Amino acid sequence: MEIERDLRELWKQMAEAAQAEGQQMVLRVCVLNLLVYAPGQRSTGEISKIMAEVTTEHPSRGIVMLPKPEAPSSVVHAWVTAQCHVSVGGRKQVCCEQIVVTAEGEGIFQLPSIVRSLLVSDLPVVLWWRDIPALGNRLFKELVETSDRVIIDSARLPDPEEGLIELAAFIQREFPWAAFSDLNWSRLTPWRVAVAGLFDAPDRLSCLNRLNLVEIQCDSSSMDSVSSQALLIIGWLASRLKWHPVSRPRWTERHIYQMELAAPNRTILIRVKTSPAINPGRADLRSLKLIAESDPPAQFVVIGRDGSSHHSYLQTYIEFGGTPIAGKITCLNKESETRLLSQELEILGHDTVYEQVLEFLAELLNPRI
Amino acid sequence: MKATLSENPLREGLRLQRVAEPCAVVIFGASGDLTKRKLVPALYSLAQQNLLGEGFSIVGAARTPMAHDTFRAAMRNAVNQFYEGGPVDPTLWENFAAGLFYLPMDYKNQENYHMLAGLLAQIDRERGTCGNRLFYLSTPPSLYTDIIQMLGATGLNRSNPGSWVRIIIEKPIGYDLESARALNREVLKVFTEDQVYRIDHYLGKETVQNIMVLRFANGIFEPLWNRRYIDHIQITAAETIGVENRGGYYEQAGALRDMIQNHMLQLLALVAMEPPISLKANDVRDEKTKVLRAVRPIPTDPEHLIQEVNKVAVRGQYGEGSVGGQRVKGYRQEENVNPESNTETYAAVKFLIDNWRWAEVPFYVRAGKRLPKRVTEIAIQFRQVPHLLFKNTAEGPLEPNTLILRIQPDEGISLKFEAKLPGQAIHIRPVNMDFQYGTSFGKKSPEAYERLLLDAMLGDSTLFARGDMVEVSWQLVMPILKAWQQTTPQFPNYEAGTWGPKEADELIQKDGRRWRRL
Repeated sequence: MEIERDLRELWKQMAEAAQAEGQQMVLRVCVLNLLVYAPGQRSTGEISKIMAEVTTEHPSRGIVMLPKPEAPSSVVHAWVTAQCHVSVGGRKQVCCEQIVVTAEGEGIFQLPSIVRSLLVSDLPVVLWWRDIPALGNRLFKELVETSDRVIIDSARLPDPEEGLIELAAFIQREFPWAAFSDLNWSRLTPWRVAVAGLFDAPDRLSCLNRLNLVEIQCDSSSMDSVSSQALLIIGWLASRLKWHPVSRPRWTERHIYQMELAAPNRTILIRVKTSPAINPGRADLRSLKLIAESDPPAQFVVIGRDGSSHHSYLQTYIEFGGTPIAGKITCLNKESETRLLSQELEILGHDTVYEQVLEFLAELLNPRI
Repeated sequence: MKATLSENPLREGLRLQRVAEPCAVVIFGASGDLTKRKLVPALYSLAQQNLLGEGFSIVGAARTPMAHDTFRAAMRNAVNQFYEGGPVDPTLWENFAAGLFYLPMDYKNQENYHMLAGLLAQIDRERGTCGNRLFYLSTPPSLYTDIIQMLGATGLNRSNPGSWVRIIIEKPIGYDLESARALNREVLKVFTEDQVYRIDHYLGKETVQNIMVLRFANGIFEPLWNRRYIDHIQITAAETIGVENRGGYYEQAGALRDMIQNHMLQLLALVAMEPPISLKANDVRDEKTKVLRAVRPIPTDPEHLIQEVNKVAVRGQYGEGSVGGQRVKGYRQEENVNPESNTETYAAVKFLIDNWRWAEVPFYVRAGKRLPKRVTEIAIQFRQVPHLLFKNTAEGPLEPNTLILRIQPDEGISLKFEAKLPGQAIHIRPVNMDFQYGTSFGKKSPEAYERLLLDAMLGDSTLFARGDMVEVSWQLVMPILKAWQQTTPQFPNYEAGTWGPKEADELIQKDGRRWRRL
């Protein structure tokens, strides 16, 4: 096949060039196949930059698909390049292959078969779908079938409530074997760690069984929708703490989205206060307050704080029986898409907690409740 | 009621699972080098990675009078200087420093321990550390017993229900078998064995932990991992540096005590042990101890002791020479070193393990200072093929297959095997199949102290030495120490920048083998 021949030629040229110029030895490394589906790209520049960063931590064969379905013609082009970096310790030049495939019009439906022919044998296949998750789309399904792990971003869902229900159904019914990751869920990892940390001490752990009020503040990209981050964090708390939906969530005021959940001995009121997003297109969590009003009253709070352009902070504090207890500040690197992707590539198995969250949200948001 | 992190349902499925419970770390010897170079930078790094519990606190204790704020400022400078992640983040530091305290202490004064108890109780109240304490002995070893006894006398060794108290003891654990036993006895009068964490920072290295993964997570190695296929094993820890500013300590220690009795025997145990029944700390440590017990002891009959030791052990001391193109002085010319010192800076020992797996497979172990290269590795040399089919080629003897586990630098694993050169004739060349951590995983490994401190806070003692293991290790080297004490060596016997004394080459050559050229 032409691409394989081009790849062999590429490696030969690179090795010869390095030898001739007395440079560091070139080492071809590949630990996984990374399929990237990225429509709407004017050039490969942005994706190549992301791939260059990702492959420093996860040397992989990158197969970048740049589809233009609206094009009138049906043409497919492919070419190969190498992504190189100096290894940790600086002794070797580590290089990974990148194959770019552009497909126009009906040509996009050839992408799955092209991809299948280019996979490095016996290595995991990860699909990064850098678009609105198109669950009914034939191309998406075919690529999911080829992959061991699928990475999407629920922040891209135009209607988070509807989108998460569909996503849950899709994973459960059509691809229960595929491991799904959600970059938006990864953005919540530091929040979840911070919340969990508040209950590590034995005396505070028991407060989990007394919580009766949860207040969430988050940005919202539009006035009448709740962010998928808020829904995911509610789903996480509920699925971990065995809370069950009582009624469907509703907007009680213009910016207040509210619901009631049930635990064996009490009802938990969840109140989400939304405000217009500071960064257009982003709908991030701002604060989370977990309250147990019964005696002794306790409050567990996590607040996002701005830092520099590179990082922000999460601050926690606890008030227990009226006494404040020293909290913690955690430094968060601003989670770029590249960073999040890189973190996702560290795991290959199912994220069962995420799957349970989706299952809970499907039940909560089900219009039949 | 005792709760653990695993009982927190919100922890389930979190990718960052190894997070310590709220606790206070008390560092005895807090004005020393280890605290500023390793301990506090490691703890700050853990805080930066969000791996410490809420309200995490450090109490530095030392003789030097100092206020809390002075200690905080000194630690900030130390972290700025020694933390690999660069200068501190001011906001994060402010939060971290709020949990830093200092207590000037006379280690032999019981009243000072009551003050420490008071400070810890106050930290529990104000910072929610729940009575969890980790004591770290980073003082000169001569103070260990005093501190341990005082902790016992003031009840600081005991925990309240639901909380824990642990103690980390820095090496050296004893100066010889007798002193190690005495220290263990004193420690166990006050603490139970499961409270005690004897640190060996070698075991915190990622590649050392990978030895178990390589052996027991792969199907292809373990069937070959025995006397039937392995000819011998070489374990090398070579340093290019001399004694630096540790002349005073090193004069009392030497290479055998400093490296072989602890680090090297730990590596040997990891390579040679049987598969543990689980990854629980004591299951792993049982197997390590078992294999060390199977190491053939050197006969200690006083009449033949020196002769027996000379059969299996060699010592050396560097004289002046050149390392990496730099002229360096000899050991006896180093600062705080006796100009007539007979302390060894090089030791090579041949160990045999008397069990079914390893009968008559020698383990050659060497460690030395001022050698040409800094390298720590374990080389497993396989037996030659039973029939030399290619003996008539022009290549000379075939190289045996060797599996190399590189601990530092360039951490990784490589397998050497023979391959045919392209062409009409049969020309055979050894080639290396190489795996390097740095190229396959772009992620930096955590510092050994970070890993070990976190393990101790989590109550995981797998990577720490148990008392019986330490004593068995001392037992193995005691005959060598005794024999060397009885004879006067001809030192210096190797030039700095060479691979040790010629007697070390002879030690292995008389078995028809040679040290790997590194």
